[in-house]
Amino acid sequence: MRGRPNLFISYESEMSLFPTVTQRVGILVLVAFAVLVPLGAVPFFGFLGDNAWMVVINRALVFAIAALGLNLLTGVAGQVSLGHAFFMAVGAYTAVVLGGDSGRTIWGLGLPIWIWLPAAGIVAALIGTLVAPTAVRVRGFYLAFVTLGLVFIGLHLWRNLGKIAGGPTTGREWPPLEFAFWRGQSPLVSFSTEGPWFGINLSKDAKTYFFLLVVAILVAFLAKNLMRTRIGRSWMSIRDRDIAAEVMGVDEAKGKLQAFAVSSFYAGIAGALYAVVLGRVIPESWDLLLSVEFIAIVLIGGAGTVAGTLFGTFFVVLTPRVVEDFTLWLANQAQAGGFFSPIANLFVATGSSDFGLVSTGAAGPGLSIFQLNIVLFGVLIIVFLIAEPLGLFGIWVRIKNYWRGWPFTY
Amino acid sequence: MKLKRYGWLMLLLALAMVAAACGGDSADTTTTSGGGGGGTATTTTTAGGGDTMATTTTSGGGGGEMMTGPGVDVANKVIRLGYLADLTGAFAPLVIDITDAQRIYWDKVNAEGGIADGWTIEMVVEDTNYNVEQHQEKYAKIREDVLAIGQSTGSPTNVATLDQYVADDMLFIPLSWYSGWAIPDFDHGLAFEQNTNYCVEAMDLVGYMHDDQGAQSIALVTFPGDYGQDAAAGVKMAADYYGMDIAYDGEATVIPGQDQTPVVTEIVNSGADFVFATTNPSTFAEILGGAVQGGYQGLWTGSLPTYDFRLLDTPVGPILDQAYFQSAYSATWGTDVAGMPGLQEAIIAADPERRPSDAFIIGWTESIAIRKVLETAIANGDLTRAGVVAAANSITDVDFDGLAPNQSYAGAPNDYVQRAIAIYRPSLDAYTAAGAETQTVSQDGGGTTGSLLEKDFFVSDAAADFEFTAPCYEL
Repeated sequence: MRGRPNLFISYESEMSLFPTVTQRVGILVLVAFAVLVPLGAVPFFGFLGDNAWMVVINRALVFAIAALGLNLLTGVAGQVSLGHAFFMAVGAYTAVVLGGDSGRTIWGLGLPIWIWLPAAGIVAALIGTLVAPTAVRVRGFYLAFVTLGLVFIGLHLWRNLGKIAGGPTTGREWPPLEFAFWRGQSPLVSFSTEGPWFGINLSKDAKTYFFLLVVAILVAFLAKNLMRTRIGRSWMSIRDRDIAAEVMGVDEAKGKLQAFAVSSFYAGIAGALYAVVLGRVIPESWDLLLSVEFIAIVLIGGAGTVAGTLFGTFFVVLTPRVVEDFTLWLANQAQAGGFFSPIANLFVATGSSDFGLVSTGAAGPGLSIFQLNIVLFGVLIIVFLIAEPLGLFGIWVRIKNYWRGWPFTY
Repeated sequence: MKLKRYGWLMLLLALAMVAAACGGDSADTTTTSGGGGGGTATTTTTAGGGDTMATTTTSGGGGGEMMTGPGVDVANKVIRLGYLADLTGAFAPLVIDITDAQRIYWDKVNAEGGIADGWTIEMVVEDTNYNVEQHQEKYAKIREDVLAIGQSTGSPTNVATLDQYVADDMLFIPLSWYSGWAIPDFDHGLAFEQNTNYCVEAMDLVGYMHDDQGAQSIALVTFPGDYGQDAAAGVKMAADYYGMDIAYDGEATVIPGQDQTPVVTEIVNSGADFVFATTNPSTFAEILGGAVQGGYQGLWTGSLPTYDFRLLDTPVGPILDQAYFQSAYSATWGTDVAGMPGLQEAIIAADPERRPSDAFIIGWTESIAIRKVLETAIANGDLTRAGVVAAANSITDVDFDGLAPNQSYAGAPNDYVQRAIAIYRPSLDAYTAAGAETQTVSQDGGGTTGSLLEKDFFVSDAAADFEFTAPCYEL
């Protein structure tokens, strides 16, 4: 009986977070991998330990937290929201007003992280509950439009609330990522300065990575756990058919309210961490493009699942860097000559008179790498919506099923 | 089904290529930072990258001992400079011209045998998209491979990355003329600022309008933040100095992308002798057109980034021709100065179809300045980052061959800060006669951006008497 997929002999085992041995081992391997990455100790992936990659991976972790929140709202509860950037901004500005330094033109209380980080989530959640009632009145496209409005209201506010957000185009500084008991005390643990931990010398990005990793794992478990509770099930029933859910006794208004609150809480935490990791954020950063990125993550990863959201995040955040390295590598190949040279030459324009889709020079005739990435994303979203609505997670499930039945796969 | 099988094959091929690309990238990193022979396996750079930051002493290269650090390849005598340029964002049109001029400059220098005794310069260009996040990611990507940053676009981007520059002791040329870059308390001596700054520039412009145009009242409209408010601080100090009246104080009222009608109405109602604007070109055109339509008849001037000669292609062209006084930190394209023919020849040779641009001169003079720094560091026998920073803070009287006023960097900010600007006036006739938008640098006469010299480099009384000890506007 052991090891058979989809065979559960008790309710507990069916409901457990990781029902099979393979999953448990897989998670352990993943966590071990994650811990070893910044030490550059993973075979074949040692380059990920470079600071150049750590910075990108850190952003992926922050995005993962925010995306998990949006996934709960959009993927699990079925409420499309374009307002995620707004809630992130609320969290970020709560954090900076509580934790940042005050100045002649800005407010800041200089409180420690154990106050500003939870507060960032809580304030965002409170504002989320204020928005939630509109979701009870409108749904689908109309809800998307209402939340879209939030982003623009937010942009207007952040530009004009100089005391909170700093000036437009300059922004303000966020507190460093460090733990202290109270303001003015020297930090017990700093996640934003270089130095040794347990005898191993770590860069600031590596330390930030460990902090973000812990937070991301915590909130991922929270999300996964939430989905198997009464609340999570009520969200799914609202997503699948809201009227049927109400008929069955699910309180739709309450469910939507909870979903907005939890999702905004995640966004608030992520927004605060996003700003703290960057150090300085300008008000213009909290724009529609940021929201759209999270929609893309949820769609590409596969709506409604934690694993899919994590796939999606790393895919969306790391792909541009990979595309960039790949294009530059192609450009080198094109110039050096070699096996890939003819293909590379077609694709890359290296000079201003060279033909090619992508140009690596400053003012070549083709698309810049940045533009190529934007085009690629548009194409990817369309391809996934048409060919693989379940997203990367769907592909993963199919691969899993293939091996599950192996060698009798047909 | 068949299609699907090929699909997997393609995917596998793509993955193989991507893996090769990533692997290649890391191998690059090893060779550049270690300088050793081709490591093809994955790198074992420690997390901190601390080891690559270590300085090494090598003999050879000029006979004497040369201290070197990251970004210097002693064996091949190559110095790598990083360029964090906005090639796709808000300032891309300007920055692409600047970066290309820098590339053309170094290509020329390298072709002529390099600097000092045969060192060549390699540019490592990264696109930041004028985005703080991208700027930091790109900096993290190149920091172990470059000796200094030859150009770094933007104020928020540089301010946000300053901590990392400080940690790495990295000299950088900010493409941002905020007055704080000259103050060691703010930039830790790392910003190698070029030309004057928004604050002093504003004093010079107000001084010119007062002395040469007889203006007595000002309508001030600016963006919020380091750019607009630094200039606004300068305007107000100069107005105080000359006893001029600020008829409308629109400091920080112009927000790009928002409705400019209130600002326009205030300008018209103020009846000021001239408007001082610190915005971007597109917002400026909106305000200029609106105010003139509303009946405003005064003169106009503004900070350097407010004006772009491409505005002459738009309906506000005739107004600019009539009423605008343009500020310049360096000579404009085609101005008759000693360094101009050499610059023009190099650009024509590199890209004959290029449209003329004043930004070429900015990129060119920045390169001349950092070349001087590198030559000084080589002469000192110290090509480490600390050596480069020390060299940058010691050089005096860098000669730009008339392309920009000579500049010094040693001593206290008040002693060396650049206080001179030149005044140009846009000429629609000259611009149209040369072919307007269709111009190329290689056409007869080299084309023109339409800017004609009105007053050569000068320092106003207000700027000359200004005691410069702190940023005009605190961030």
